[in-house]
Amino acid sequence: MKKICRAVKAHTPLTCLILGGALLVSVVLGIALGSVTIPFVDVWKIMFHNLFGLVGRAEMIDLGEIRESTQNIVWFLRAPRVLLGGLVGASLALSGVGMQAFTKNPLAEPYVLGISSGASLGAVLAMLVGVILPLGGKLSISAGAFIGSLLSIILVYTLALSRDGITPIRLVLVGVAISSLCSACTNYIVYTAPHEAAVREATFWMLGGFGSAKWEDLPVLSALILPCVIAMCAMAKPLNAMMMGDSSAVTLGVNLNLIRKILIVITALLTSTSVSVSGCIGFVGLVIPHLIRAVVGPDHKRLVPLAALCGAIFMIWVDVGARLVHPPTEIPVGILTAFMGAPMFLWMIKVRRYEFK
Amino acid sequence: MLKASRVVYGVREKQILNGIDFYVNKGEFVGIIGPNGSGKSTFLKNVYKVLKPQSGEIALMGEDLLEMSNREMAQRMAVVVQERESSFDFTVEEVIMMGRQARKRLLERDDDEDRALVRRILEQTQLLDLRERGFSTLSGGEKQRVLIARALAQQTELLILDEPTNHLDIKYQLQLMETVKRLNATVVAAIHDLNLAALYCDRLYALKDGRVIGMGTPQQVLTEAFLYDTYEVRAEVYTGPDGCLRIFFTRG
Repeated sequence: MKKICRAVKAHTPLTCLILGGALLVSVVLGIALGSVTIPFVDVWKIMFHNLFGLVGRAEMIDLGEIRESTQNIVWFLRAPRVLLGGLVGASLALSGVGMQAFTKNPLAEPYVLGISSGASLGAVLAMLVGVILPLGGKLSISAGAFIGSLLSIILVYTLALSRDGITPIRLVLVGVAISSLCSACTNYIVYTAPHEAAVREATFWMLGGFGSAKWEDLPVLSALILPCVIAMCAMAKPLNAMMMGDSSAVTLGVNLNLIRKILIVITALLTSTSVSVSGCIGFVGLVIPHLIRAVVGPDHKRLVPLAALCGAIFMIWVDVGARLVHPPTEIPVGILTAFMGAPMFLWMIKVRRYEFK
Repeated sequence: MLKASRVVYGVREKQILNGIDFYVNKGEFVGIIGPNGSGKSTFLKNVYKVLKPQSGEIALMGEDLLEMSNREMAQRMAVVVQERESSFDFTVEEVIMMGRQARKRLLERDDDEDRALVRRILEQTQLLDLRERGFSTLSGGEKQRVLIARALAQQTELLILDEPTNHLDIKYQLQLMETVKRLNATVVAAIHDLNLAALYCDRLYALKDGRVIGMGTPQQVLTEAFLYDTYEVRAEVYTGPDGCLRIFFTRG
């Protein structure tokens, strides 16, 4: 086990390459598996047929005997769903890394700090306004989620700010309070909503899942993820110094205020766009960075790319699990991640003795 | 090297520093002493930019420190801070390598030169055997040595130590001061233990209630009358065979 850790640490780029391959395989398997299992060959054929179709060369792949319903399942249901799962997994893992760097605490995470609830309140509010005044649509819901999460991040960070800076214990307590407040508002809206559809959608925001994923959900997040990974890799050294404490960071030459502002923007963007397409999915940002640190240590140069890749793979498989665990009913993904993440959170406090000092 | 004039700092209505004047010349080992709450650490925090003075001037090598970026400061001055806890377990080698980052551009990687330097410092501070250990698994004395090694990796002429011997037992206190003394760098250190200060410092500043109440060589500052006035303790002060002062505290 130690040997593996050492090898991964020494050859991080190679590991990333291997994980990239694993991600591709996961995408294909993720598309193939479900209440209707589709042969892998057909998945490849349909995917490439449609991808070539985008550049007007669909005829290069012959679909032959594959039924049209299968084609529809692959291209319109499963493909966007799996890809969205991967993107959301990566961005939640990254925002976990970002918040942990900001708070110097490995227990910080968008869901734990109440940011996700803020985002879903924003989304539900935007939806409600959209129902009353029929304008906006999907974009306004995403914007609502973004504003909601940005406001809750700022609110949580400012309320947690005391004379000694942001102490983790205050941060978590404030996070709990903000989270409850936002959930209460969301619940109130859901119960008094004038519109049946609004209720159903609001429940979706609170539990989280990829069941209604469409191709239109993908562009914003996919445009965001790479710049965020690059920005966080570029900040790897300052982030490492910040983990040693504020004074350490300042005296090692880090522009603390600038890095913190960038971190707030990045985590707000990633969390809010994720929540706006998938609802509240908790603990991914906690589980993934923690496991990776256990293997390669806390250096952000390795942690950031590995967290993005592993987050994506993890989420794709959890979503597969959500489809398979209780057929034909689908379990919301947020329930499954909580089943895995919450015990891990407790384990980190009890066994690893992480504290909110 | 470093010159502060009329530095004032306070939190809300409470004034912690009431106009501190301070200077260090090249090659000097200057100690800052004073009772608890005298403002030693607060003054140093103003010097290393963790706190911002309400008024006053601080010049580092002739340039205005308050206008300087943290990066520029870190290229000129290394600090051993009081923080020694982290929930994230960097290895000793990684922690020391952090000392190099003020000299790196965005996305620039550690090169062979950095690694060779870190290796030399590991040998110099006798940390070679610990280099792959996690920082948080070390003892207090070892951690402090690592933080000194990190400061050395910054390769600056000026070294600031903020209460470096706190929580260390006497062996490590002496070992640490010895390591620093042998560097022949310019050093400013806030020191709690008066005997330690007398042994190693060329010049002392005594602080009380945010004011400088004494400055000079240990012989000039650490008199029996001074100790009674400042710390309200009776003491006998002798000169040892090595020419350094020995302070003995007496009852009542």
